[in-house]
Amino acid sequence: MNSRRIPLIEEGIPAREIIATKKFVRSKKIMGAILIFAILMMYAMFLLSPFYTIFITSFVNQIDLQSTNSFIWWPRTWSFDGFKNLFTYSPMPDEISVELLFAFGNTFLIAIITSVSSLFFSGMAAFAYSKIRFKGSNALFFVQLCTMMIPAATLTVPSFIFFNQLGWTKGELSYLPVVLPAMFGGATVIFFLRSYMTSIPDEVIEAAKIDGLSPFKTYLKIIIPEAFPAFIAQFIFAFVASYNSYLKPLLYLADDPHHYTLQIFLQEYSGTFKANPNYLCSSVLVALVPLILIFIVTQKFFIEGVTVGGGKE
Amino acid sequence: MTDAEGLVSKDLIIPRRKKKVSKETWFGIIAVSIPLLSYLIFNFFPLMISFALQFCSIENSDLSTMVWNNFGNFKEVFADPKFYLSIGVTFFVTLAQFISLAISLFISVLLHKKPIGAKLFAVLFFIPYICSSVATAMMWQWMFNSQRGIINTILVALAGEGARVNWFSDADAYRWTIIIATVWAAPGYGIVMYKAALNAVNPTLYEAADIDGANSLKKFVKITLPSIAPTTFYLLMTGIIAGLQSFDIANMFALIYSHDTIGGPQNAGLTLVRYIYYEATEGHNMGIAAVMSWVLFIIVFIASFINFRTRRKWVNE
Amino acid sequence: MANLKLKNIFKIYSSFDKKNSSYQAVTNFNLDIKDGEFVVFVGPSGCGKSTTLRMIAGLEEITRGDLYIGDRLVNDIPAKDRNIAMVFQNYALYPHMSAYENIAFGLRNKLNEVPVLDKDGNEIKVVDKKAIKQLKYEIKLIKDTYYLDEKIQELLKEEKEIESKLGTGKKDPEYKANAEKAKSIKGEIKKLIAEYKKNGNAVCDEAIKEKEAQINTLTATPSIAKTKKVHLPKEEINSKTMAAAEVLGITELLKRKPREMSGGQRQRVALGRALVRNPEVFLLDEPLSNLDAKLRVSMRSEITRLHQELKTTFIYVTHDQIEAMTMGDRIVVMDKGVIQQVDTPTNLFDFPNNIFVAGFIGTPQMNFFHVKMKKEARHVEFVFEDGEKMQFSLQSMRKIADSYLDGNTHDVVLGVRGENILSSKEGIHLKVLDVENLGNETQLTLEGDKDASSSYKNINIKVPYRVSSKVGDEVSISLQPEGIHLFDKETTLSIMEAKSVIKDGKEENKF
Repeated sequence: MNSRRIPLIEEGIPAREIIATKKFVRSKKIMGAILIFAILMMYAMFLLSPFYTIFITSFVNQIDLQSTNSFIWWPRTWSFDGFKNLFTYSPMPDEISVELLFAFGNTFLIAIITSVSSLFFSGMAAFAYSKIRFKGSNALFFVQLCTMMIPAATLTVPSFIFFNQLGWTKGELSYLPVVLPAMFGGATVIFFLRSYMTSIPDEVIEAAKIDGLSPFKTYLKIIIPEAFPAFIAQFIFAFVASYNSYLKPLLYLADDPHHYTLQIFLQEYSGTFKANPNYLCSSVLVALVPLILIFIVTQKFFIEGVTVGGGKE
Repeated sequence: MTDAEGLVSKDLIIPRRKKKVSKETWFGIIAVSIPLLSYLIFNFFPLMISFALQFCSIENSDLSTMVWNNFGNFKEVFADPKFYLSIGVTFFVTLAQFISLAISLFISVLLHKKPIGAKLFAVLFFIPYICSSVATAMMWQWMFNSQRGIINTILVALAGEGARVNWFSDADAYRWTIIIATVWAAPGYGIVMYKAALNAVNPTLYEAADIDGANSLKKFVKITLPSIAPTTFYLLMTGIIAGLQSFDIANMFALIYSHDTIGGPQNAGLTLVRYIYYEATEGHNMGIAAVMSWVLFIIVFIASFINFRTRRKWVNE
Repeated sequence: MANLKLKNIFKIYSSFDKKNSSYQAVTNFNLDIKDGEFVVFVGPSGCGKSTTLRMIAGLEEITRGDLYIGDRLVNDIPAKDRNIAMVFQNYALYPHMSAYENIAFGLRNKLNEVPVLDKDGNEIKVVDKKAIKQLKYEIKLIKDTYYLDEKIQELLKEEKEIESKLGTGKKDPEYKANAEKAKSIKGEIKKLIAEYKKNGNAVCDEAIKEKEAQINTLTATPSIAKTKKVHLPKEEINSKTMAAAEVLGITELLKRKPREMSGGQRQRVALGRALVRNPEVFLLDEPLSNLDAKLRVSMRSEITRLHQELKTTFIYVTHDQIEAMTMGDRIVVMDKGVIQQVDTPTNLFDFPNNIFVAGFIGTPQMNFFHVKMKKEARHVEFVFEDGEKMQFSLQSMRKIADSYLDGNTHDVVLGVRGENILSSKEGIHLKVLDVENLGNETQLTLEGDKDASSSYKNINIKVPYRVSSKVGDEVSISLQPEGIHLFDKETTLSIMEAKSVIKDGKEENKF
């Protein structure tokens, strides 16, 4: 039993005491709530601190930065130097171009192409695994699952050698190693989509069969619309992952500034302007803003994408 | 051989043709093979090449210059003190995953009590996870700046100049930079997963426990933890595997401290993958990089295997 | 509109992991369904009724046997080309489409062959490629199998017979012998085919020549109008969809999505989708099982009405024998993959062929007693388990098979429905276990008196009035002879003829 029992009126305890006990319990609860809120607030501060610092520093005057010895909490004057440089910077002296645009453009193109394509093929495989009976389906699914086991890092060097041999590490072809392998679907996405698709009733597919749809058409017209929430969730995930990817683009696209993705650009930019924290911070800010916006708008799908797949295995 | 319209029976017995492969089987096999083939070509095949590479020396990543050199690469790698150092660093950095897991559990439990602003907090807590590792590294690099970083500014304000830490030049401090940055970024994922898992716990279990007289701590340990064990297991698995492959932040930080080492002061931040990357790109030592990649593979495999085996013990499903 | 023939249909599932382990879901299913008939497949769960329906639809492969829709052998024809429509238990509506879209979907996918006209509006004649393809296929078939030859036909017939016997399962002692025979027949067929290939066969060669000639004429002269495949015009799709919607009374629901409709409405949309295909056969797989009782009754009559209007063949699967009895022209009772009896509802009720059918049809269930019967002069004496004896004249019961009227004592199973049990002063002594007052009739459950060593359990009686009996009351029962059904103990088959008794006079019974 609880160590502090709330006394019953029947036992002859005066009403005053009852109220007092209730108040005690209630205040205990309030204390608890305040404590929880305080902890969460502190954690929130911890999480927000980097954003705060780069936000502020982006707007600090160049001169002020050089003359101080500690972190500047609030800009004396709000300066846009950082952003100006960002939007005019180009590492290629003989061209009139803005490197930032190249970086964004490359990143978005690659992200969209690979995400859409990967989803299309993953979905098709997921449909086949979940709804179509064919010989070898279990064995092949097992193999597909095994591919998840091989850590990505162990594949970077071998792939690099492989692509180098094909000549895909130089020139325009260097986009291929980044785009091509990611276009045809992957184990995690297939797994996720498959478990979602099992909730589509078989009879709907059978009805489509009777209505004359081939399996492929069934995929296009019935499965994709039905599993749309799952597709969207995975698309956003894949898009963000591609947007943020670093190692792969670094290996293949870092030679030519025209090919830079956003992350490579950030790295190069930070290296070039080591001495200008306001430039660095503004670049990070500009790189983060699109993603954070997308996230806030689509957070419901995002969270769906994370949870439905991973809780079970 | 295409189908006919269906033979008309005039009370003749028409022998059945052999079964042919149905449309569905074709679709199934093709649909499933596309991702597998792509993996085979772009990943598995190169993997086999790298396996062979371990035993060869090669010039400038040109496969035509592959020359068998027995175990020369192995000898080099296993005699290299930096190699062992990098493994140690990698394990150390993986610690951050455990810390993240604990944090995400703790925060999720707090959020589950539905305080004010819980929804807002939840959204906020996930944002670090979607920041790219490059952005994270750059943000924290600025936070750790010895002169103008916010951390040192606060430390000095609180405890004077002696409290200033040279994050990027002091090996001991450098170690922690990677961990702190990871701990900042990683828990978001776990928080979301635990949120779902906590919501899925059967509330009547708690009610039964209340009747049995259990206090909050007991309820947590005996009901909550076991119920969310599958999620814990999953997060642990993915966390460890990710931790062992740490590269992005380590790489970015190392580029900042680019003096005489490849992994920060005294190579305190030389994770295995960073080392592999270095050997592959600037060191031009494909054979060595291959050997180290396979060592990493084995480490990850063993970790997953152990994790998987112990699952049965503490996940009751 | 078409008739159906199912000949020796088997469905055998073989598992990939265990060798030689297979599950026989449907065994030797033979049925001729007349055009326009309403046939019901009924039976307990797992009896194979849905599997059979799905084989007819083309959703399951027919392991063995032949399926004819109309006169076409459709085993290898895909579902969409079989001219059938199916209504599923959980409606199977496309969730992301409106009711209108659901119904129109099949129509949108349909491709019609439409003649291509030249500038003057005349048909362009082309070679009939389809017929040529068909002929080529037939020629190949003849060349491979020589099936037109008489001898081959006989062998094929034998093979089919043997195969149908094979189906009774591996435990059957004759299985091995039959399997061997089937093998040897196959061998003979092979030999014959080889021989004909070498030496030729008159009938087949002629047929081949004929067909080849036909091919030649067809190739030479364009005989068919050139056609192109077009989708149905929008107006047609619309009018057909609206027509179907009107028939089913769902015109106001057309814009809604399935999740915005009740179960009954969804079922109507599913019916509409089937209706609009204008099929030769309607297949319905437990369509009312997901509806509540009242709705079920009203939908039942709707479906029957639909059938009467359309006059198309309906095949209906249900596990509810009341549904079966009220809707079907003929009912196919199945158990464990085997047809138990095919008959009209009344015949099934009055003349069940075996214990299973007797126990399955009719609520409450028929009561069964193990008795010893012996013919004495012009009556039969039944001795019950507790020693109780009853006698009935031969005339008062249905005609019993002669082999049981030889004066010897036979162990048989006696079945009698609750409505044919009377209370009497003498008879089997039982105690009242439960009284169910259903308003205008009463159902009593009785069980054996435990002291007098008997094993009677859950004997039910039904009377069309209220009674004053209470739980625990002791009663004695006797039977109405015209309601007695007798079955052989081993084979469970009925040993009586399927003709009713001509009765004169009726006893009044009161409880």
